[in-house]
Amino acid sequence: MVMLTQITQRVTAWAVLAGFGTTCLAATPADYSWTTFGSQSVAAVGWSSADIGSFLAFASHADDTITIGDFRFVDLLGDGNIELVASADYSGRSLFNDLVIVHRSGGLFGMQHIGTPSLESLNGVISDINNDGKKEILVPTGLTPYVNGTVPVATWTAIYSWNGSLFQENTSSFSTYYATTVLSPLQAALKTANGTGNAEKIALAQIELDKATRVSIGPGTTGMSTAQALVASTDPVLRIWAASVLGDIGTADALTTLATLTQDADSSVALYAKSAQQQASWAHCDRVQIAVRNGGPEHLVDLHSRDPIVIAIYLDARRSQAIDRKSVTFGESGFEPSLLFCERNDQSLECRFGGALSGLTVSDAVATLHGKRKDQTCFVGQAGVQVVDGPQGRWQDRH
Amino acid sequence: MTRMVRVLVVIACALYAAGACATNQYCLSCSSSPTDWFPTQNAGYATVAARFAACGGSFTVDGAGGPSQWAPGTIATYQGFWYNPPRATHGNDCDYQTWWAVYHVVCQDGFQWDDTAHRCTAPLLVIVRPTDQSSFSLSAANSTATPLVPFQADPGAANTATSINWALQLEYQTSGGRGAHTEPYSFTTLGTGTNQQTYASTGGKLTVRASAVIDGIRQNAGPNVAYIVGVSIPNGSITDRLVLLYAGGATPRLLTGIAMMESTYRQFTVSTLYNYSGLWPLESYDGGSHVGLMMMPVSTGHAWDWLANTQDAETLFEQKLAIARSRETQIIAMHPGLPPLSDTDRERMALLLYGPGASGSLSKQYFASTRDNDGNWSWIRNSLGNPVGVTYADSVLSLIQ
Repeated sequence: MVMLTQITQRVTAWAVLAGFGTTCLAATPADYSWTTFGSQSVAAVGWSSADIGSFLAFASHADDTITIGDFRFVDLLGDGNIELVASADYSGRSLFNDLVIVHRSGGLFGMQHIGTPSLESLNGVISDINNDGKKEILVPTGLTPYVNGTVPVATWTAIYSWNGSLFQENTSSFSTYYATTVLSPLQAALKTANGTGNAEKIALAQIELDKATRVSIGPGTTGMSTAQALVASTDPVLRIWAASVLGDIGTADALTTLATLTQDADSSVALYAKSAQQQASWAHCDRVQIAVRNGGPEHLVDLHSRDPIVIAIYLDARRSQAIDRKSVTFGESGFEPSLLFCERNDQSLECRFGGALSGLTVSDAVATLHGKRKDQTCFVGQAGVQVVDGPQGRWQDRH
Repeated sequence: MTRMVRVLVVIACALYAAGACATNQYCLSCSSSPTDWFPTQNAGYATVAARFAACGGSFTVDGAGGPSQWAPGTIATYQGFWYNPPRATHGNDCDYQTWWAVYHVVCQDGFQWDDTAHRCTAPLLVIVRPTDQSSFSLSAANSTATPLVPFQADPGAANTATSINWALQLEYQTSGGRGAHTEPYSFTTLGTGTNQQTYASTGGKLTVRASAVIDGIRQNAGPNVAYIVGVSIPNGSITDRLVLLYAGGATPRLLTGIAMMESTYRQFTVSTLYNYSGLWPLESYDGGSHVGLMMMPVSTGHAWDWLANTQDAETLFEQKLAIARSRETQIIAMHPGLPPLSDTDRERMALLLYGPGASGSLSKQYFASTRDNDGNWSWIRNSLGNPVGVTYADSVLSLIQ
């Protein structure tokens, strides 16, 4: 019965397309309503993973194949609008290192990408854990690096919640959830690992428990003693893991110990330690509020426009004076040297960036800004955007 | 009212295979008296349990009151129970009506219960090869195929013209249940004739069954279980293969770095699968979503054929090179004056796209653009924009053999 319904809907979609005289070869999610009400809802169609991969590739103008591990059409915000959540792979090897959240606004599709080591299934990823009617996204996030195919990656569950314009990592606000739901299984996992006597399994379980403790009930230095012990290990994998933990803790003591690993006799350990050191320099920045001033309420950024992208950085006057303006970068990753100039106004520091230099591409839904103050402390901000490639950028016009 | 007490005695009849008992195929007569449990062959043993223990066998008992009421070694207590079942419901259960117990004798090692002689007798049909729990390695055809695996049965000297039907099933899945593949196969042999099969680009647990009609009765043999496993591939062979595959590349030995990074040069590794310890395909840490030298997505070919594993990886890498060129062009178009990448730098871009940091974003490639004080654009290693991907590519390069 379900199958019949799905088939009927697909046939209906073809009929609709034919009626419009379009040249489309097949219906895509763009041809359906992304709302929970009415007929022709995108969520009621039996899409295949290949359908979703093709849709994402087309919507983002991707030049490579996107493989989908799992996907859901779900009303994340409880507002009657449906979002698409998908685990995607860009490697061609089914590594599924990207979680994509697609929001439709009229004819536009905005995609937020969240990195993950490997997320083939979305089971347990989408949940309204604080019962506010808006769903959170629980993303397994890598703490240790990919050392090789046989070595596990230590992960922790980052919780992303809706902040009004994008899903932002906000795990520390869910300490109760962590204390009641996350920590206990990790403690049990550590107990099990201890029973194996396997040093790598024990270290992995301890690292994951320590990280979960740091992001929830604290203190933020939890795991320091474990990391210091791992530094002395003869197993290079454990020293690589130690480097990641030390960089994540990020205190002066931790960074001092991490510096010793950058000189490790094993070149692989040194390489990973240097990477951890560099990541640590931006991992503990203050969060600042930023806003895109372009494009009205949708924050449209037109890549073909000569107009700069205007970003307001909300800092008080004293703190904005201390900013090293040349350090400010903005764009898709947040490290793009796209700054044109900044100027102070009444309520914020307003900076202008070159759209073509920002690395933003069609359908990007999030832009990131990084900067440093004159005392070398850093700050980071994220804002929701809607990137289009000119007035023809809307989906239905290209389709 | 009849007391219906069913007593099921399961006897592991391993007598014939147990040293001094090897010639004694007499398991247990189904008889009318406890004393008949100890005929000539069993003389000297106080209980059935003792008799079987001496022969390396065992049996379990389940009585009306449960095992505790009629436990092994307390045979005498069974008296008082009786049972008179319809024979049709029990078949070979040896459910004689003359006394109080129903015995279910389970013969092992291919022996079959003779309902007339009341004992386990040697089977009329036996699988001679492959022997149970044998293994065959992919030692032929450049470590991708087994030598000829023989299949031979013995239907008895009087049945040399008997047709033997063979039913084989080769199955494989990783320790995490991924990549499940089952491959049934059947053929026929005549008498003691041998059929030989080669297993190429595949492996796993091989379950072998044979059957034949002898004296008008279908006889079954097996299952014998054999294992098709991998071999240790010499590092030199791996290097030669990888260099040959990418001979036209800017860094011809580049794939050796990927193989070292992904698998430390191992297609197979000693591990236990299907309760058999041997050289099984190397699995990724998550239970085998990826396998082998280049950690390709699990499939029978990628798991068992290292040539296919490496070939597909090279093909994928070439695709990544093409995408890298496309990304380079796009980035240059946005940054006038940015010079083209060298061929080796483009390989770094492709490496990132092959690994765990692969991304469709122009800002998350191996190289990003940077501007000097004079406003000129140049490339910079993008360790901040994509630390996972850049570190992966750098690691691969550092591991080139």
